[in-house]
Amino acid sequence: MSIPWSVDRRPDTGHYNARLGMGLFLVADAMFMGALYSSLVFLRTAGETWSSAMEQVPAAGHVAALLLAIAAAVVLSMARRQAGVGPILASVVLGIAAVAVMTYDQAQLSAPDAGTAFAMVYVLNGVVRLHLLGGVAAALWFLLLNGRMRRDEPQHFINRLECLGMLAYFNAFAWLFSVAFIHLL
Amino acid sequence: MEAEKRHAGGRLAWTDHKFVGLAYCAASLFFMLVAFGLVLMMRWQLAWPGEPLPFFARIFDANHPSLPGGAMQPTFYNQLGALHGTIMIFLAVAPVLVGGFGSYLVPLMIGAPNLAFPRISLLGLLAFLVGGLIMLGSFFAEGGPAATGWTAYPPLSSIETTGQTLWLLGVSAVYLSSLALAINLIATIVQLRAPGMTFMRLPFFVWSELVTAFLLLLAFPPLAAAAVLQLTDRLRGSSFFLPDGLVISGQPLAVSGGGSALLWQHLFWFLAHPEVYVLILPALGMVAEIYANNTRKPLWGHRSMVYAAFFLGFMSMLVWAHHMFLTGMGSVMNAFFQTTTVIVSVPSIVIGTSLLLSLWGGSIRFTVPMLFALAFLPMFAIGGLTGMPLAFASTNIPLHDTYYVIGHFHYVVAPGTIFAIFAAIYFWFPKISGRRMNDLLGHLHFWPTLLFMNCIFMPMIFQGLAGVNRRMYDGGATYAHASEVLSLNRMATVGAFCLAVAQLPFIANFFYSLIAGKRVDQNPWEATTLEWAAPSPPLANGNFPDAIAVHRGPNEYSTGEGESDYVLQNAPGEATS
Repeated sequence: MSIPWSVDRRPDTGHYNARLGMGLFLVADAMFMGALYSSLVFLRTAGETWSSAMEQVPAAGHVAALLLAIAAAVVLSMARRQAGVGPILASVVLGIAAVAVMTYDQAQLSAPDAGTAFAMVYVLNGVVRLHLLGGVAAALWFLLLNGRMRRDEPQHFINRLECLGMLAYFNAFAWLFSVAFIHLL
Repeated sequence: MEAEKRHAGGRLAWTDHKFVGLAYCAASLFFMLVAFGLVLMMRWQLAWPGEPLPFFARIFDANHPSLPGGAMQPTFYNQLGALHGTIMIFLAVAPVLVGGFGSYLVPLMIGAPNLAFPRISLLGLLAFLVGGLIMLGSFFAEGGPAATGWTAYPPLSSIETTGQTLWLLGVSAVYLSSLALAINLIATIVQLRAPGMTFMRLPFFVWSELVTAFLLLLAFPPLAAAAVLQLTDRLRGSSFFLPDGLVISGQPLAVSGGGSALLWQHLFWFLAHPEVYVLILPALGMVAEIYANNTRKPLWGHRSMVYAAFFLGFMSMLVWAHHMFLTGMGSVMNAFFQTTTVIVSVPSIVIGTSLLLSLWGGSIRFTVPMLFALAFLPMFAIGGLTGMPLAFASTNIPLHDTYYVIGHFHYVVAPGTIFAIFAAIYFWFPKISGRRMNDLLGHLHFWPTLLFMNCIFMPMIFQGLAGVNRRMYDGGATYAHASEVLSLNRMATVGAFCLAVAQLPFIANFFYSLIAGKRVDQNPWEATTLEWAAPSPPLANGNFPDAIAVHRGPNEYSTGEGESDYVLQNAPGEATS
């Protein structure tokens, strides 16, 4: 028996199931990221000293631009009701590029006394990269394994893209918040 | 009808909520048995410190590091304590309530064919099983399992043996399982309600699962983040939880420092206090359904119970630091958290009082599930009321880390929640199996269990008031303060072993009834909620033979409508709620 409201929106809630599910996942994810930010604040404010090497951490506007471009690409593919493959492919390429740039940026950081401060940068960087890789994997899955759905159930496919777009926007904001917390503290 | 039976007896898909729910139940009850076995070993050590454990003495030689000649070593005692708590909370009680009964009953109670995301529910189950296997597998790791209690406080946990790494991986896997469950239950309740099933027509059990799912969704991620940070401390050389200047055995610890052990406590208790409500809210929901059914009247104050449950869930996330009064947070922080702690007791009392008033004037059927449900209330009340002195810093500090705390929270979750679980098993067994459990064996299970639960936990309250510390592996034999209450250790231990024996009628009853129990129709308890409108067991594909539409509230008993004293929620006619 099919699950109700898998594709169409339930009139009284205004959601289809996956949209609500992705929203809930992102709420949990926000709590996860929030705990890491809180940890950074706690350690920063409790510590008597804080490494000046934090100034080495790049402001990373280029990464933020890449992440926002990914989100835009996904939304663009969703907005085209034909759900063409071009923008999804672009989101995959941009995602891989963002991971590569973030890995390179992190590798440039070096300070023997930075200790906990740099460790938190590494953790935040790593968590955002994991999110990006998750998004890339999902986009590749949609591209390579959802061909029949794209053809026969376009609305279902567009729903999936919307959920991917929600994740992409979350990633961009998670990164922006990470950079802000690292630099403002 | 024949086709219906064929479907009802048909094979469940792996992604069916009934399969997932039953798998959670089976695995959780197995883990519960394991955790109970671990604590029996601990109790032996507490009652007869240093004496070889019976049976184990024949297995372990004199050179065994944990049990030389069957006698328990302090580290092994700590490991048993850590795994008992962890398994009971993360792998037994919470999963059986949310993953087991939640996954199985919620879709049935709201008239849905399945959970909203069936494949994710199966993935969650697999993550749970992997987490459980990692946790149990840590017994075979070098140095044994984690020995830092279920709280895993650093700095000890950051420098512990391999078992602690496995503990963190196991908890992370359980987190993924909780996340899958929480998202699934919320989406299912919001999206898949049958036509006519408005929110206020949801049974209280469904409400309790909804609030619980929100708690898991919001409170567990910080512990997952803390686990990530502790893993990097252990594996990558960071020191988020390790301050400067740590010295072990006279040697400075080679870490960069700059971290804080208190950070872990904040992140841990941000989950762990709401986790208490994860353990209790579904239990309250199950007891509420059983009360309404066995008193043959609606719940008293259904709406206020719903609001109280939501308020309870919200407030439970603002009380975590009452576990940390001893850390010297300062009087302002203490005042804030003791105030929120007192406030959180108000909705608990609203729900408890509503349940008590629901009994008033009822035509009570003293069935086996009702006996367990009735016993739940005073046991939960003892657990709750003994928590009040712990809410205030001034009384918390002398009681901190004593057996009083152990007695308090065990009253909430052992004779409290576990009684609710037993009640639920007896109550919904006919729905799941199509057969009823034996009443005589049920009574033989209930009465000794009630007696021995109290024999175990009541002495702990008195030992705690006498100041006996909870962490001594000899049970206080070398502690002058404990001398006058030391004999209570033996009373609790004898009670624990008797409690184990008292479970034999239940185990026999369960398996006997599965095979040869009396067959029942789809609504043997004459209940009103939607699961009883499905065949017993429910159809393998879609639960209900026909489309379901809801016309009434959840507990329409003794309405005077028709010949019977109950009306199913999907029965057409004029609703009274």
